[in-house]
Amino acid sequence: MSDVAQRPSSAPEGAMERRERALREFLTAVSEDFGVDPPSVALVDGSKIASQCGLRACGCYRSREKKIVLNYDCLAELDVLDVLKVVLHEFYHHVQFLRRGREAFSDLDKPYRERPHEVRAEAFGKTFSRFYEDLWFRILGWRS
Amino acid sequence: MRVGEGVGGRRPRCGLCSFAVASLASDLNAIRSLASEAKREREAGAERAAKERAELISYLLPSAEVLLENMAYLCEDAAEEWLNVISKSVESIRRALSEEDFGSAELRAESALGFMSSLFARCGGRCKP
Repeated sequence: MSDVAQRPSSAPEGAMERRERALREFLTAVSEDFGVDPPSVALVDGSKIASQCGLRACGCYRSREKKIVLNYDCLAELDVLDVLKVVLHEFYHHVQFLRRGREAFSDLDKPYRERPHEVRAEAFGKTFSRFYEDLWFRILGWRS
Repeated sequence: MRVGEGVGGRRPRCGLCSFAVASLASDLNAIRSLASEAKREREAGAERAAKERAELISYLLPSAEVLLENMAYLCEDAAEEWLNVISKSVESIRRALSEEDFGSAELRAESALGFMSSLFARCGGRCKP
């Protein structure tokens, strides 16, 4: 699948493309702070997310492609700050992968919520969303 | 080793180091208070309340751990030896918690907090506005 967004019926024309560009800009800035190359990012229609991430996921990180895939329809249901937490969570999987390779995800045999790499990514999203809130709003302009 | 220079001698974003250090200090302070409360609750025979405090600590630990994991990238002059000492303290807190040794968890948090001022002093070097 290419990085070109597939526009869901719920998204106004051009909205997905604009948000994807903004996400790319945001992730480039955050990547620089953490000394890593930025991941690629794709916003996809909720009906297409299962093929990329698994059922009902709001987002995922595809290490083979160093790509964050986000479910447009799922994120549209969230508060804007919760969207930021999801983005930072997935970004941290990218950091984990670049720092430790596949070994970073060696706990996949455990239940999802008990996997250390998921717990850390969740903590990263919650903690650093407080710092990146301003940058997030400035770049995305999503304040309601 | 001097850390925090990251890839290609980049500078951390201004405020990011102070944010990370302040967040870590806040987490450690909360852990210390909760461990102290858990110890008192247990001494008073309130085992359930003690376990509830321990559960709250377990929610704070991943945040402290992820901050430590990244401190070296965010604070230009964060000295590795201090980060190691604080990391060891946080590991000890996790161990003490699994053994339900709340007194030890409190002491370890106290000890880690003692090093935080050294980390704070290292914020404010070169940074990217």
